[in-house]
Amino acid sequence: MPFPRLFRQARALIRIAVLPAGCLLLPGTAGAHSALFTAFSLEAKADYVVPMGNLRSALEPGAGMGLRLSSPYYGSLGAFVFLDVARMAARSGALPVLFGGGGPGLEWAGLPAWLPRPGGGAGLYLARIGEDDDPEERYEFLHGGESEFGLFASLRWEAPLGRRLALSAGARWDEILTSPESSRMFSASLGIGWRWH
Amino acid sequence: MALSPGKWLRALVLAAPLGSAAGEGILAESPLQADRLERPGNHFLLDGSQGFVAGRHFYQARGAEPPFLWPADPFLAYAPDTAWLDDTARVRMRGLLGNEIGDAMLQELRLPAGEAEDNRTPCTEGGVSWSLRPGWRLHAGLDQNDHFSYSTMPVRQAMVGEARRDDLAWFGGNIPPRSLAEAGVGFADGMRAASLRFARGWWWTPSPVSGRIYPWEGRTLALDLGVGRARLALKHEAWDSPAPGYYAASWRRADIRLSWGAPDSASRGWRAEAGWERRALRSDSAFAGFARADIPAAFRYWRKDTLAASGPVRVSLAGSARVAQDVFAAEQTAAWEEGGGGFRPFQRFDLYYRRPMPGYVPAVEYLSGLGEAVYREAADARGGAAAAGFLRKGAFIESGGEAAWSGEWRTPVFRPDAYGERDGSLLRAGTYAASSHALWNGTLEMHVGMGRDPDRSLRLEAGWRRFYGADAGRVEFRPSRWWASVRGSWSFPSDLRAEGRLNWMGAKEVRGWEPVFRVPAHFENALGLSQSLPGERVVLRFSLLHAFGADLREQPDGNPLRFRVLGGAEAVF
Repeated sequence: MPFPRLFRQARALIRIAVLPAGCLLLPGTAGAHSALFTAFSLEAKADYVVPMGNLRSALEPGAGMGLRLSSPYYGSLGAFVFLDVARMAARSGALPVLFGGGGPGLEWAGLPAWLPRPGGGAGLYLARIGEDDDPEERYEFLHGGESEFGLFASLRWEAPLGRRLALSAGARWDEILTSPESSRMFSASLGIGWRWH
Repeated sequence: MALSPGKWLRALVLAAPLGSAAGEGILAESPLQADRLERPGNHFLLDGSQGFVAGRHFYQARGAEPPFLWPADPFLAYAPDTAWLDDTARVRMRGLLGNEIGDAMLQELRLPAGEAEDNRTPCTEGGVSWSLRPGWRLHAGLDQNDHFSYSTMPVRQAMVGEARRDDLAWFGGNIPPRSLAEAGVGFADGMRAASLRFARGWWWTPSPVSGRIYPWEGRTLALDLGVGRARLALKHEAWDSPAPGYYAASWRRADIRLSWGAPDSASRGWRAEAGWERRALRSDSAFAGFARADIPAAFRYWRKDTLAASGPVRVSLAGSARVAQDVFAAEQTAAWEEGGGGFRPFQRFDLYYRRPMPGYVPAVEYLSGLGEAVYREAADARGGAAAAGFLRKGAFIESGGEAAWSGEWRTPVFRPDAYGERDGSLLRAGTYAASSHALWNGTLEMHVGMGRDPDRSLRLEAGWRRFYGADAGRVEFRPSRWWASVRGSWSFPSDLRAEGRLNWMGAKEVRGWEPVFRVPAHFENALGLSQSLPGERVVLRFSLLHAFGADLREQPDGNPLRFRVLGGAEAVF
């Protein structure tokens, strides 16, 4: 490898490093901690799940349900974990497919109340077909269950009903990390939650 | 506070620190992959569980095991996990889930019957250790890593048969490179310590000579007892081929070792060891079998002193000599470092020597239609390395550099006889034997680190390396001649820590397979997040490894480095 090319690459890496280097001058974080578990909110929700992209040819849209546990995190940021499950029909043969997902995320609640709260995080997704639904075991991998990691982005409105109850409406876009291209799911949900302080 | 069994035994034997996927830094599947993230310029991936590390001070990595890739036992060298012995919490749990991004989702529903590709490979590890009462600790764990196994799936499936795919792992049908369940119990009480560790399962071992991959199922049992300065270690291994239709093979090993020493402190001590070992390898067609009884012996010492001349100078000496598995090996290291001030120069010298003893049995594999693949330990293999460098620490900027030069004689070089292929997997026959020429290795490394807060740092690294000598063009693995990297870490006030690495690596070469296999210059990248929950009893970790960039194969028959996602959790109570 000739030296000029090495120096060019080193120069590019130094440029990449300039902005983070400036951030190093900011004050430290000693003594600061998250506000996790200082309060809780548990939400039960009904979902409508729509396969997108390459999953359109595999699944029909379907209904599902889920749970969402949230907590303050830091400042206006909240943390949550969700667990959703939907029973969807395969387009080939009308087989019922169990599709589920779950994972942690963060949500920004610093916007005016009438605006949706943006959020995002990482999830683990699972698809499988029950043995009773496919006794001939035509779908080998789906019998064992296909699990994939993914990332998601969400928007959620929340309307308090008194001190502890709240209604919510939300939408989530799941980008499931698969190859040669990502697999995508869109889901809309309505939920009701209970808060503990 | 009661001493943990691990600390007790470690104090006795001064064992090398063990890597762990649950340690500091970016979460990775294994210590090998974690080390690769730290020093990508030295690593070649042969498969998911084994790699070759070349070009640090010597061409080959040294250590307790013989320096060449070939393990101490011709085909097997597995030791049940001991990291749990260091746990001090009443209960410690850890879990790791990973996925190699490589397959499409729901493809069986989207493609015509029979066209779906094999489902790609997860990684599932976990364990729990529990202190029942002071001094006692129980452990159970699962180590199953399917990553990097996809390209050898056809040949592995041909060996064991498709019908048995579900039988060769604790769960799943991917016939993973490693699927081992472990259990253990440890005890430490004042001057006594004991641990009993057991592993059972399946794993595959690739031969670095022939390229053939071998399946094994069986168990390993290890017992360590310590009283005062004495230690007794027993080990039993029984591994068999689970593919008798392909070939039949069995490996049995039993050894007992008694050691005595003066490990009064980490700064000064010695230990002598002697024992008896029996090894037997039998095979109907794959290997040359042997049955040997040996008397292994070893001695090692270590000494660290601080001298007060014009400033504090730390001097360390360490050395070892051992006879094990019919090979004599000796090593010696001397290092000193000036400390205390902002400018700290250091120097280091390393020597090693290896020689097979009378009765040494070369490892021989039989390749139908090709011939034999042989690894022959070199007589009088030796090397010396000298390194000098400095570390300059300022209030905000740290910088350092190191220059090293080494010479090695009798470095193993492969001499091919024939090449072939079976079920999509490359094979070769020939002999790995000593080079007749010296191999010289020069390296220059430098780094600049920035940050006044330990939780926020940025580091730039660059290095350069050259090999010289008549056989420099024949050594099998030629690592990158240069590399540069940026790494940074950032702790947020919410107990979230982000860490990232971006490496730019020069081209590599793998010789000994025709034609020469060239790995182009490439980027490697990794991002890790870790979130401590209040009380710091639970830590959640998430990694995106090689998320950007093309898949990268580093060995003609190996599995490519590709995008992997890992999620893990560790909890102590």
